[in-house]
Amino acid sequence: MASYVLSPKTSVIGKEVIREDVRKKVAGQVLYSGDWVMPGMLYAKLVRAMYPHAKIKKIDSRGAYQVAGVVRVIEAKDVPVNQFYDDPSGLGEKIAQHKVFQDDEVRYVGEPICLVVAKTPEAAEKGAEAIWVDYDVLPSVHDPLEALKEDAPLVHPNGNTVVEWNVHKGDVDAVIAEPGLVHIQRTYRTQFVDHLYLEPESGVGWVDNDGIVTLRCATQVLEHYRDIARMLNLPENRVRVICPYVGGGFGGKEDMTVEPYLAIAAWITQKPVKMVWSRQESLSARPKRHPFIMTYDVWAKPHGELVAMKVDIIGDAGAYAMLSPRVLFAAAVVATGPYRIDHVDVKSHAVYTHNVPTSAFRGFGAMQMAFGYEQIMEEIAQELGIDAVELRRRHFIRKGDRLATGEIQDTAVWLNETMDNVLAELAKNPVPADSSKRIGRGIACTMQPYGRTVWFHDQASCWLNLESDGSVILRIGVPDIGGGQAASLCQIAAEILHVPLEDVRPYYGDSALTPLAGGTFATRQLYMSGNAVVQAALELQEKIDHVLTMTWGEQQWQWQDGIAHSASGLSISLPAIYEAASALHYPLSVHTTFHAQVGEGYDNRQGRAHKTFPDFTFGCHGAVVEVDEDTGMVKVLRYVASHDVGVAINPLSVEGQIHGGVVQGLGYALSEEVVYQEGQCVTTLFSQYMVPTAEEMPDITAIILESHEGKGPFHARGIGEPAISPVAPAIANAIADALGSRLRVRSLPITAEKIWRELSSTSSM
Amino acid sequence: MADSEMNEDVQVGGDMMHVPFRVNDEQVVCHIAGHETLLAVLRDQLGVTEVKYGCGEGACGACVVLVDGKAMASCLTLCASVENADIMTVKAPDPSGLWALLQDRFAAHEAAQCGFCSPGLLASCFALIQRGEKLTRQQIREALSGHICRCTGYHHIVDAVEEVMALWPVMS
Ligand code: FES
Ligand code: FES
Repeated sequence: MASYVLSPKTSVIGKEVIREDVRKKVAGQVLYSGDWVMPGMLYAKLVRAMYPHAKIKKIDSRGAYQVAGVVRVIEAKDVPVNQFYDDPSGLGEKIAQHKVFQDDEVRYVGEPICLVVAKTPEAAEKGAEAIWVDYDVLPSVHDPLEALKEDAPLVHPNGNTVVEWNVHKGDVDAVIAEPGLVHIQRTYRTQFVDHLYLEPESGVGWVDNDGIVTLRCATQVLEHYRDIARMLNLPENRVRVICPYVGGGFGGKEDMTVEPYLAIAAWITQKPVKMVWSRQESLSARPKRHPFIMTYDVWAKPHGELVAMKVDIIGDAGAYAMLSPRVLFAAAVVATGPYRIDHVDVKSHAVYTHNVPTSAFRGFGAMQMAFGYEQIMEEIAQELGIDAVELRRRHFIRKGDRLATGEIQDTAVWLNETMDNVLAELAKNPVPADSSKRIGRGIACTMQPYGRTVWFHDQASCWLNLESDGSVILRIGVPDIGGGQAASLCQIAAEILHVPLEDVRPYYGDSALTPLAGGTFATRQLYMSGNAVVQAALELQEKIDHVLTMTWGEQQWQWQDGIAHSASGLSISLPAIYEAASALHYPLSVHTTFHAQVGEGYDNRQGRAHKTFPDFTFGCHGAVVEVDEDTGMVKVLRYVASHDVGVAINPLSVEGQIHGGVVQGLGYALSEEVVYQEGQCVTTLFSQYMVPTAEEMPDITAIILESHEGKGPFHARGIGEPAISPVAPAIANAIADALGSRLRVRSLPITAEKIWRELSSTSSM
Repeated sequence: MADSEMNEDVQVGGDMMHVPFRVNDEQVVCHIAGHETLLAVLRDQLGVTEVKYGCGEGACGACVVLVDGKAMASCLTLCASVENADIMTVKAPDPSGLWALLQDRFAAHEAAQCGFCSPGLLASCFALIQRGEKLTRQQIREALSGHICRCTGYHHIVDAVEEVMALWPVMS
């Protein structure tokens, strides 16, 4: 990649820049997807399956047409291609994903069956209630371990295993035969959780003047227009997705939500159609985070050297594969955590059940594993009678080391640095112990990939040009889901072009008008789009310099606030340069594509790779908790989080990502769970799903470190997902520390009830 | 929809009624069914889209507006009950400058990310600040516990509110 220098005068990189989008949002000026209205707009409502597993005998939609205002019922037979296919592992295995409308065999409660389109939301709702579906209920399976048994009901004809990944290093079986090793085995479990972004799944679809099916909707992936085109059997150039600011995503708007339904309804009725999912629909039927069952076996020498580790991971994929193959892959890659262990065997399975599908969620499989590896490290340290901090320190991977997958870690690994900062901060003003409460302290050190696996040949394009008045237009197809995706790209362009930040305007999130940059997921946007903007800005700057030299003849120019100054005293403004460029017939416009580091597909048979993900972000979190012995209630007294982010483009946004990740992680650790009983969701109310409020949350100390080594723009590393992964194990370790006597709750969420049970299990002995 | 002859709250047949009230200083009369929520009427009839649907059950705070100065969840408020009331949102005319100050400090602290929680949250903050009390960070947290923010982790929100609280009496 070409090089760039940070100019101390105009530098906006590393500054706490106030985001323009935030100003608009707090003034109530942003029209989100559900705020859009169009003339003659209709409303759509899904009819969803009531049973986890059943044959559909008959769908009788006559009742819906009796409801005043109902315009149309759309069923499977109305969809040109009623089936989505995907290659979720990226290795060429096409998997049939869900249908648009299920017309044969429903596989989870909430699976879409048909759609009612009506003149008002109420009519659509009443119409949906009036549709009669006749089912033949079939036996269902809800526990992934049961689903793996011979005689389990089949979710799909080819068996209940979606995928099995292997990571293999050294020779575990040989080394564990060595006498005198200490061995422990522990199993950790995690739960279903929901993204619970505040903005429900929503959008409006219409067919525009030129016959283009247009969707303005909340999504993390503009490129779904291609899936929609396939569904409608239209050329891809006939579908457009526009994505205004999204009211939160966290992975939950990565798979399609409202898109296919808006598209088919607009296509069939040729009218604008709006759909907003109710919170209840969203909670019960949209994909969740995978519950994992993780069994760790670890062998160590008595003096504290880890010899071998085996990890077995079972992830509940629910009824459809969605992104499970990728999630379980990320899990396998980081299963042993940021530690050097020479002999490793990891098996990671995604298993079909008749539960709600599971898919992407901030942390993407790596998060669950952190709950496993950061507890097994504590537990083996305890078993060996050595300090867990010391054990970690001895085994931290370092730059240049080979990871469990066989790939080389080629950027800085600041595990010691982040951990030392967290420990120092935790040691400040020790919390006074109240005799009736137990105080505990815990930490967790983690690694989390950013960017897509290297065989996806990821790319991001952008189009950058100078306007005649000297302002800059940045066009880039990123969905902005709240993390300041568009804002940080403007900072990068402003930095390289030496122009004031307010002179750069982003046009983002429109598949027809902004060059495609890939979805906002996998902590890839800053890495991918950021590098694309760097590339474009450098090229544009080169063109500007060329025009300067061609027109004014001098070679050396100094830039300040959008003005070029020469040694001989010339001062040339950007509008003048634009004019000069026009005279030279030299366009000051750049369209460019950044290509990620690429590599071969994963060798799953050998369990090895030259490279899996482009890079990882490392960090450490620490917590002090207070546990009430009588009730098991936990209060988080202090929370410290440190990450090496390479370079912080906007420290305020980095801090915001860390704070948000921590609080989402605390919910995951202590209270959040979507509860299903035999596939039926029993926590369908917002108030039943226990997310943290401001009241229960502590202040968070975020310690941002900059190693200046990362693969993003200006050597930044991604932080969106890394911020959430360490939380649950840090809390689990702190609670275990408070409980003492080797008591530990090994399943999430760590509720007061579970803690109380742990405590009473010993007191009764 | 504010037909001239409907300036009073006349019940017109069935469940339907005309309800007059003010939104951000503008007089409106809405023709509504008795069961309609203030949230639905504000959004669907009046285009007051800064009021958000997040849960419909009073649990998230995204739909909070000021009703005669009091922060209320509009999803749990029947429109029929706000007859003659003064409804305010983050877009209300701002003679006192408090909305602007809140917005400015929220932006400066990046107390919003996706921003979906912000209009509701700012309405509660407005009512809170107007009470004129000086609260500790923990008290601010308690006062805002009816609002879920899934993005920010609350820390920056508390920073912003704390700062506005410190500034406000000086400015008023
Ligand atoms: S929509 Fe009213 S509180 Fe959530
Ligand atoms: S900023 Fe997204 S919910 Fe608060």
